Amino acid sequence: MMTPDPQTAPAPLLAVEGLSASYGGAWVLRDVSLVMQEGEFLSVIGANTAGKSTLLKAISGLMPKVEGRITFRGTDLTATPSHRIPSLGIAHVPEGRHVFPDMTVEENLIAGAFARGTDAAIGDTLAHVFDLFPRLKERRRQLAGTLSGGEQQMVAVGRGMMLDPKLLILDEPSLGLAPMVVEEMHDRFHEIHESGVSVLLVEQNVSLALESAERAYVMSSGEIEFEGVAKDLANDDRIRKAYLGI
Amino acid sequence: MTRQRLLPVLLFAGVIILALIPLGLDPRGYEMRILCITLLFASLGQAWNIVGGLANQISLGHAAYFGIGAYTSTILLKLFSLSPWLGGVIGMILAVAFALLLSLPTARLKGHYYALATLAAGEAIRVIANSWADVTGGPVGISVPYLPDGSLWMMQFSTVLPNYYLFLAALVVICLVFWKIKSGALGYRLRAIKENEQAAEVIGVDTYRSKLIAACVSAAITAFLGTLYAQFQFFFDPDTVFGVATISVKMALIAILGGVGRLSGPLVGAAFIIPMEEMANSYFGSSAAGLSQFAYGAILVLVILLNPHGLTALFAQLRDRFTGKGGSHDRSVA
Repeated sequence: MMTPDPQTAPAPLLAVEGLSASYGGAWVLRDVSLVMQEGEFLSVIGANTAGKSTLLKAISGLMPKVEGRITFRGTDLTATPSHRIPSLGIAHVPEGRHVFPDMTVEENLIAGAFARGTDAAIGDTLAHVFDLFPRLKERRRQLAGTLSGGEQQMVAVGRGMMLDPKLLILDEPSLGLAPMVVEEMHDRFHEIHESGVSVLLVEQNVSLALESAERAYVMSSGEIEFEGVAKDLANDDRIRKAYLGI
Repeated sequence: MTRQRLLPVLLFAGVIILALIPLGLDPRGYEMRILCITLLFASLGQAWNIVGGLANQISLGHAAYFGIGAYTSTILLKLFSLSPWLGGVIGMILAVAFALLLSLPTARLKGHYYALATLAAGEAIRVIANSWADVTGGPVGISVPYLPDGSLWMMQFSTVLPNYYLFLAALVVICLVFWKIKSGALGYRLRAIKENEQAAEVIGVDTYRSKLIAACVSAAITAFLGTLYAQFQFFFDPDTVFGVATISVKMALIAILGGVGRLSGPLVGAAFIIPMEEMANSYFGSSAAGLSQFAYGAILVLVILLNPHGLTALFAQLRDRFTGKGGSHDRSVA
């Protein structure tokens, strides 16, 4: 999907405008702007400390003080308390997985549907997540803390999918996982995207991120350096030199 | 699975046994008093368990709520002859107000910081009660006005037998409240917060509000138990009802020793701690004043080092060993 002409384009799914954030006086985001269309698979790449995770946290309301505007389907997210954001349809899969270790796999997943209230379709969504990750179905009664890293990542993604989200935010989902598991995870992300969920992926593995996404933003030192179609960026000299080591 | 069905039966049997015990005892005797205090502290431990066990906020300031309850109903009874039932409800309201006030600076604190902040708040209230002698009577203490023709409405009786049943009823109600919270939506939220607060936030749990509700429920219950205590003891002073060792630490200790976050934890903890303390007091007398505080500290350290899940978990592990079952970390044990 090409970047649409702003005049004729429908309202974007997510719009970040002039976003700045600081930790104790040090700026970690400076005037960041980003637009994401409905149904897009977008990736944000950049080195460690570029501000990628902070950007995601700001979107999910986990950064208490930010300047600028973040709108999701017309709702101003900076004015929305963090616990209300999931009910808008934004599922955040945090860096480092953060499963509930002493809950079973199934309890973890059901917790993900929390913001949907007493929705009758939770059973269907659970079945859908088990189709996506059959391994979780096998281990549904096991405590999440006893799972392998890859399986915990499946729980974290599955928990996000339990929200039946419009937007799935993935923060470093392949960190610390074996290469084979990483590939499998990315296959699942494609499946999720094809089922109509917009995906916003932050990934240190730049080649993988550019392979998965349709479009990507490149961040450095808290600022957006440039953005473009992922395939083009994969061949861009600046990217190849800085991140792909070619 | 069968254990889930067995548990209510066991608890019901336990209540029946507790209801029958006094029939064999002197209703004015020392043993009855110990049983009353044991029931009271089981209730206090369970009230603490809502905050300390379910919300994982280790409060060391619960004496504030207990003392507010005891003083409120007693002062209102003295001044206006108000029934302790009504005075107790007013005490609950004041305790909730104090919990809300306290939550403003403390609700976002975790672990040691929360424990220390609540400890300080409890001590501040004790100092206020000691110096505000016009209202509280100060360090000399306060007596509940004696009404010769006692009644349930005025919560005064000629023997401690009705007090005993009042304490038992309170314990049953508080256990039901604990179980209702634990097995309901709030309990699920609190569990998510306890296990991973950041993850709880990203799935849409209002962590601040959930902890606040737990704190208020716990405060209200503790305050009403303060009223029950006042009507049972007839005399108390700020150092007793606002005491760190006498109330705050003891509440936490009972829940932690028994099994924090478990329904049966405070019951086991109180049944162990209170009779042991009474025996030690009658055996050593005043020659070892302060010994119990020392013992609390030692017990707490031992539990945390040896088995942080408490006695009930220890029993479960022993049973699993004897019945040859694996998986010593079965969390479904209530």
